[in-house]
Amino acid sequence: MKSKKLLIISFLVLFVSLVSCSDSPSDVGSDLLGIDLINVKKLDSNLDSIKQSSNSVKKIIPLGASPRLLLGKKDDYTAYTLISFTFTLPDSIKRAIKNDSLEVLEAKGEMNIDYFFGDKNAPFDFSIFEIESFWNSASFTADSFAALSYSQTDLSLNKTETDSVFYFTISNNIVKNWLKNEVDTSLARNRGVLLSPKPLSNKIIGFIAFDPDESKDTRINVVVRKPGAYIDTLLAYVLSDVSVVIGNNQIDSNYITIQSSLTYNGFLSFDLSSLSKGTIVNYAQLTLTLDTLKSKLGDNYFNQLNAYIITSTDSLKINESNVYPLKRVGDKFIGDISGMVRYWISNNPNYGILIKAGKEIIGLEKFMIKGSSYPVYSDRPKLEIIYTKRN
Amino acid sequence: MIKKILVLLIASISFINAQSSSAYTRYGIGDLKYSFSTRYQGLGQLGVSLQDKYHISSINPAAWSNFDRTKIEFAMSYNGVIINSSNDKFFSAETEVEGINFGFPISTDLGIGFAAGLVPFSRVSYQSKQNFSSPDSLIYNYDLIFEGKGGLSKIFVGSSVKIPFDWSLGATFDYYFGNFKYLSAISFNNQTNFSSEYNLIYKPTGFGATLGILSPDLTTTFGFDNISNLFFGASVNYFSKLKTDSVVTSISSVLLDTIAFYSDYMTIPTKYNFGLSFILSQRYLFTFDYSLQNFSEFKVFSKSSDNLQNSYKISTGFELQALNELSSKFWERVLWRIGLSFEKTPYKFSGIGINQYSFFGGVSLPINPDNLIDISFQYSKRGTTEKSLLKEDFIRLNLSLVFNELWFLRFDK
Repeated sequence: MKSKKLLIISFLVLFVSLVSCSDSPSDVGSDLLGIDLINVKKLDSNLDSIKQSSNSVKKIIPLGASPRLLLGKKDDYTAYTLISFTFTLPDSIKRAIKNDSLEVLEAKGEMNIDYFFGDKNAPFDFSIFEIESFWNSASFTADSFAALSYSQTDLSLNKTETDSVFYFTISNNIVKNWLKNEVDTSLARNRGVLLSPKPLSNKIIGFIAFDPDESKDTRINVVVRKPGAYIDTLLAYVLSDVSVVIGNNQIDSNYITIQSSLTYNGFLSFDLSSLSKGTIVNYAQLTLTLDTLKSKLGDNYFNQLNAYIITSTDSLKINESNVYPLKRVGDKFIGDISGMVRYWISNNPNYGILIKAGKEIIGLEKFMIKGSSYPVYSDRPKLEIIYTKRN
Repeated sequence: MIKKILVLLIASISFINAQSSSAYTRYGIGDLKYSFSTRYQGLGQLGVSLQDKYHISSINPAAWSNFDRTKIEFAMSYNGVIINSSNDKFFSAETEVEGINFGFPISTDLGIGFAAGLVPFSRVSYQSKQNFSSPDSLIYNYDLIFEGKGGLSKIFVGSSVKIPFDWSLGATFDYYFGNFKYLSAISFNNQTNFSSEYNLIYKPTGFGATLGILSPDLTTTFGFDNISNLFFGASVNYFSKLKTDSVVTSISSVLLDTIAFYSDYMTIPTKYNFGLSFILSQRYLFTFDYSLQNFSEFKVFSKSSDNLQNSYKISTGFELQALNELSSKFWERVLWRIGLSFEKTPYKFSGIGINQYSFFGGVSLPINPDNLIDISFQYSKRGTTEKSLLKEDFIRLNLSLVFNELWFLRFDK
């Protein structure tokens, strides 16, 4: 009986194991399967006469989250910085301030430089004005600047610029008011100061902005004295800071102007109605050509643009979490936007592409991209789509 | 333990990725399965007129009229194929479960036998992979892959009965269901491009019927001396229009999209089978069979195919009957058989019909007087390498376990 069962199992094992001898699939028989043929095709916007359009859109945004403060003046751009300071005070100092027995002997600030826009050696100077109106770094924008109220008295003294640090001295009186405000808000006001470039300035400097993890943000060393008692040094930390950049670009319709901080975004649209439902997009690549002569870039910047799907024509709304990076290769910005094209051919409306600077709240880089009406056809924005279609 | 091993082996079959035929099976309903039973495979696959003590004929239900035991038959097959084109060849193999049948007699006097089963009716199985290279750096190299899987299966229940003049009549009620999956895919050799797949899936379901008739032993009618068990049989296999859902989907690595969904009918032409068999000198069984099906009438969604033609099959078989004596040794109780067939398959390409020539052999090994292990071997050749067509060499091994038991039987007191 056992031998019969063994016989049956042996046959079954033989049947199953024989299959493992199969060759890997080859092209034998492919010619008979034209009925199911699918083809890899390429759509090239520059070769296939795909209708495209582009322009530039100024979109004012708050720069409060930027790790860099901009200050200075270059061409048509003026960068202002608003900063408010705070202190951590021991009780003895607080008592002295309350008793009005503390004198401010000196207030010397230092700002660490991490960026230049324009010639590094160009002249630069600025004034410090006391801000009188309320402002909030999270929402303060270039549009808010016109309504900002500040005194016209320049509080700055003794400014010195080195390669990496800018030193300045600020009026003792305003610092004393900040100390009073720190102890009791009813004693004095502290709405911070406006750093405003003087007309002779011909560059914009970037300073390290407030960062709880960064020790190189702006500080003011305040020397105080309680007469007959002690002399001490207090440190004023940044409580809040923000930059605004005021200015405009002359828009050339042959170009897409993309600029950080100011802020200009590019709009680009391709008519992809020739791609029907059922098309599978294997890869889509967007190539933008930079005019290196017309572009204006700082000494230290993020060499990338980001593309976004426009989800609504209302204020060119985008989904910020879906970023399609366009990396710099020579004078091109190239990126994979396959997901974007798939989105459009999956019955979603094609409102176009919004292109931003890679870090749009840092620096003042102006990328001049050759647009959809640029005279040299091959330099226009190029969308190449590799797709598969069933016959 | 043995049961566990069997279950494991059978389960493992479905995970094997292989193929058992060529791109020809893309057309119609694929390769036709003529017979379930391994014995009938060994006799040229038909055996329309065979009355069989041990096996369940799935081609002619009238043959069930002489059931005297409860029968269970389980079959599986190994299919190896060498596919030749004009400049290349390719080997592949696949193991398939062929199905399970069972039957039992209700009345031996009235010839009422009952049988039911699940058997494959057709099989689609092909794979192909072409390499392409493009000078375009965004495309680079890619593979174009075609794959076909599936087929049509049949669940049947039926019965036989003796009618006047000792003729037998049998009929089955058939339920057909299937899943034909035709894949076309592109796979790129670079890391950036997503692959793409298109799947066309047909899911036909519907009913049919098989009606069969079997003559009594005609030996006395014709008065042959040395001939016995002369039977004539015929059956007709009718298909209603099979309601068929068709889905076309596109799949990239990130998206599944249904491009189209249709629901219509698949029309499968009626199949006719005829057979004659007799035993010479009490030991030598001869069978002669003919089957035809007008596949030019096959339609899916009202569309016929230029690549289908009317098909027929002619087969003959010879079986050395066992010595049914109590003193017989094991090898004297073994049944040996061979068969030959010619088949004009349903496939036609560029005006060339695909013909198939087959040789069959087989044995029935008795486990005990009522139970058998059947093994059959088939070597077939079909097609041509002319006009970019394919020539195929098939090797098929069939194995079935046949159990005849005294279950469900009533005995007179």
